[in-house]
Amino acid sequence: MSRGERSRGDNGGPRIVCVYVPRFQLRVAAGGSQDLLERALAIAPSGGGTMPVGEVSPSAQAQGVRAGMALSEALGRCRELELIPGDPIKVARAWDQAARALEGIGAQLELARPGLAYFVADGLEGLHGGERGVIAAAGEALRRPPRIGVAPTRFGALAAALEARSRRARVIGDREARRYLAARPVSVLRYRPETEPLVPALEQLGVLTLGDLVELGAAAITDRFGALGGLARRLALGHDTPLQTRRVEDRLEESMDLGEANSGLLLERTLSVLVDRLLARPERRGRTIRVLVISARLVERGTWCEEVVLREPICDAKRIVLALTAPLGQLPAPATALGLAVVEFGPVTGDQTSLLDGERRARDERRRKAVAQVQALAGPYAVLRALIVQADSPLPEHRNLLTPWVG
Amino acid sequence: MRRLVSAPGPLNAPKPIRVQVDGRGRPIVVGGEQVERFIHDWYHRFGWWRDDPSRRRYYRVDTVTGRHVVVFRDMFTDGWFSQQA
Repeated sequence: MSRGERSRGDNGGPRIVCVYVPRFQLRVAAGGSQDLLERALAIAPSGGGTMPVGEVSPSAQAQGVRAGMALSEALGRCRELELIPGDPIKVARAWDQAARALEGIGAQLELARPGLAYFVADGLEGLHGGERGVIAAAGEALRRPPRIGVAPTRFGALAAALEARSRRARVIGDREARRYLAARPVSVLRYRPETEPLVPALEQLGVLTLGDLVELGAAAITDRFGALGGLARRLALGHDTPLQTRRVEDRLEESMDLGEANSGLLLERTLSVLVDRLLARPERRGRTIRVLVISARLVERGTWCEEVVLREPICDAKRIVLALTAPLGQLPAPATALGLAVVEFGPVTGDQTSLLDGERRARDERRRKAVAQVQALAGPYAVLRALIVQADSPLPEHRNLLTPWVG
Repeated sequence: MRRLVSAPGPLNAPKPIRVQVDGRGRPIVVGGEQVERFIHDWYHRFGWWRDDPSRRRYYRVDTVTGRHVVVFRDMFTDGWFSQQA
């Protein structure tokens, strides 16, 4: 039985808490300044396609600008709209800090996106003195009071949080959950990435509330919208999947200023150094790597980051670099610094498969063991290798780097 | 155990060094050793488009102990550094 299914609601189901910080990304990108948020602001498009804008300030929203709207339309609706560059690295750090603060009260979190998290209240109630105590603890854990909703399902808690005020949580009892959801607008579905694309079509069809959606019937909805429609209807009826909570583990991170080394091949070499450094960190404890985040600080203001999920957990430096090279090609502008962080580890490594056999493999194995022994004795930086980063740089110190030797 | 290298990082990073100069600004004592032979010097300007441009005057010299040394003066900080160029 998963954790999400244990509970003590009226019907014995779980009690899910949704913690929502509106415009989290905009607030972080704008430096948290309140007066900035009172202006018509939007996060600038990060390039590609219709150039959609990111989160928008209340003032911009009042003039009809919405997150995800094409830049041309947004500027057409709001002439004084100011665009600020997004800062995904700063946002990720701020959100990780907030998540750790919530984990500090004992919550096991599902992080939906920056500014939106869920956890199961059961089990924490004894610690904090009931559901109200849990809500108060969650509110106090964050620097800025979040909007908190509590309901028997993730989707119900989200709908409640969207309606809640910043210092007053909205709590939905198990018995009233379905009735409550029926009165909510279909726009709540925007906050679930799977159901987000349905909302414009539903609104055009005059399906304005979740109750309207349920009344259409399962067959009609599935016929028109397929599996996504079925999911939306199940959510509206108060059914949802258990939370997928994250494991609390060390976050390994390495970064490097690039100097003038900000073009393709040189970026790859820098990446190779970062991978070596990550693999050499003792906190890795022999574990393989499953998910990484590659990030860059851009020459113009702003940052860029991309999550890379490896096909299988590995700790082979060459294969990791290979997997990271493709996302690196999507950098929207030249970079001044490159960062790499491990988001999720895999199991502890065994022998990785290799096509090479015989003497060379045996020699590699002996060398690997020798290096491991020296590193065990004298630390991860006891054996280093020199990596040519930019052989033709006029500055001698930019030409080669010493990087940890990874067996 | 004696460590040959200190930590990961740039290879051949500049190291501060004490230098005495003559009236023309050329090194005459490098790291406490008298300069025996001045080989040549060159000027280096780089990264004017960056926040941290570099302007260096390099000198290649031999000292009385027979050491072959390359030092440079950082034109921004006026500090002296040794480095294998």
